[in-house]
Amino acid sequence: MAKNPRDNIITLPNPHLRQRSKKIGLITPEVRKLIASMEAAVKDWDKSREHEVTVAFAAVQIDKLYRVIIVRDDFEHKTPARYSALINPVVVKVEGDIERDYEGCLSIQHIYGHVPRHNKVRIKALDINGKEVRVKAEGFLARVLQHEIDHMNGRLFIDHIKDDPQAFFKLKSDGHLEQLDYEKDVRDNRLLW
Amino acid sequence: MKKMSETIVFFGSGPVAAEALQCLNEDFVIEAVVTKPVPPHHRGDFPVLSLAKKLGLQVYTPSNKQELSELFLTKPVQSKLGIVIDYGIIISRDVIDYFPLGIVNSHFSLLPRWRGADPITAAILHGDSETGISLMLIDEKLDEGELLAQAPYEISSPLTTPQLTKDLIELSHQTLVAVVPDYVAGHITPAPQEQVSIALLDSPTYSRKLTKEDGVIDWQKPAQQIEREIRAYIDWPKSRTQLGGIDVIITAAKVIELTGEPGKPVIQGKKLILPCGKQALQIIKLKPAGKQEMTAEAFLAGYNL
Repeated sequence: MAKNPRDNIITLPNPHLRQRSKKIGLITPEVRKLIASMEAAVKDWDKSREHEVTVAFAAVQIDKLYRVIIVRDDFEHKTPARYSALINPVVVKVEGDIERDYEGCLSIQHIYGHVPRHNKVRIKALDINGKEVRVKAEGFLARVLQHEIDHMNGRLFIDHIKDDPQAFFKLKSDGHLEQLDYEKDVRDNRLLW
Repeated sequence: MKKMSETIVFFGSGPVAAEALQCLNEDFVIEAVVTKPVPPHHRGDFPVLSLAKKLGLQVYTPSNKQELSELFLTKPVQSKLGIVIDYGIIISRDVIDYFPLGIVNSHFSLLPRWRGADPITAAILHGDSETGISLMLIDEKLDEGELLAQAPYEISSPLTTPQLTKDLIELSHQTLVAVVPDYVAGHITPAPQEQVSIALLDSPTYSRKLTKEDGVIDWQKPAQQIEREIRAYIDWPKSRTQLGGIDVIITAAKVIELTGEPGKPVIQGKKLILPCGKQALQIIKLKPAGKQEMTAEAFLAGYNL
């Protein structure tokens, strides 16, 4: 049976999500191919969802443990989706206030978190041509970059809120969030921890 | 990382609203539709309601301002933004404030020109060479809210109200799709109309709701004015007069140089001409009571004036 690109996405409890990804040494055609398959997986996944949109994605999420992420150029417009790739991204500095907002992850099914993060961040990375880029991000983009760089180090958004019973939600089929029962659905959920 | 799509709540009732809803549904996730209820004994189509049901959207039908406010006390939606087009019920302050980003209205003129109920007809009646659409955050006053964006439209040829309406719906949709996501993302700061309007004529003017009497042609008016009325009123109330004792609706005419007794038909060969207060109108097409629309020539052949 033909496989959809979105079927390459791995989800918890796959242990690879908890591993560190390797640095890219040279930007070879294979790296470009990896980026193309990441984009294909994300676009295909978005098509299957009515109430959610992918804003960024890490290579580990299609089980390729390399330090590569793609970030959607435009978070709010539904179409057309374009992405920028960042290779070997690192956080240079976090600053600003801690803010909470909702975020989800394609590799953690059915759960949204109300996650505290710094609202400003500076990162450096290579672009697809191997040129160093530095990004000063604020607000939601700062959140997105922190989320993705966490993936490089085997860290997931639920790790930031694991002791907060108020921070876990699920997305209902009508697009609304509903708080999860922490005791029952989260704390001892073997899929998550 | 993924996030929840931004959703909107749509307020609209009339046929223009139905077309807008159809367009918006392609680019936005619509959480709910608020529309007028079907009046008792109403026959025929109720466009927004039937479209919303066809699209499988959540529908609410409060019948007046009070019921609308009561509906929102029950916290029925989570969207941060509402969009209102051709709704027909006044939205009170508490409902506007329910939405953290407010309620956007697409108004079919370059505000502050042609505030009020009928901006499209007003632009045609006044022979404006430009009009457009304005995206505005509604407040409690009539069309005085802060602007998010405006898009101009050049009126280069004589248009009728339905032609201009169709083009402005399309322009409105393009602008909403381009602007609303940027506004939701915080990239657009609303600003007062008097500061940012792109209208050439930017002092406030007001359109009024038409009445049936507006359709009765007053031949004492200048021909140019009556010709505009014919285009502006073509759907309703229609430009009506009597020719040779027969009730007719004039549907197309052009201004020509001729003087004569206003309203008294002049026949030149196969041309039917009506002198006005200034200049005259050559009738191109008309519709006698109970008959199909016909050319002036066909009318002259069939009726004795």
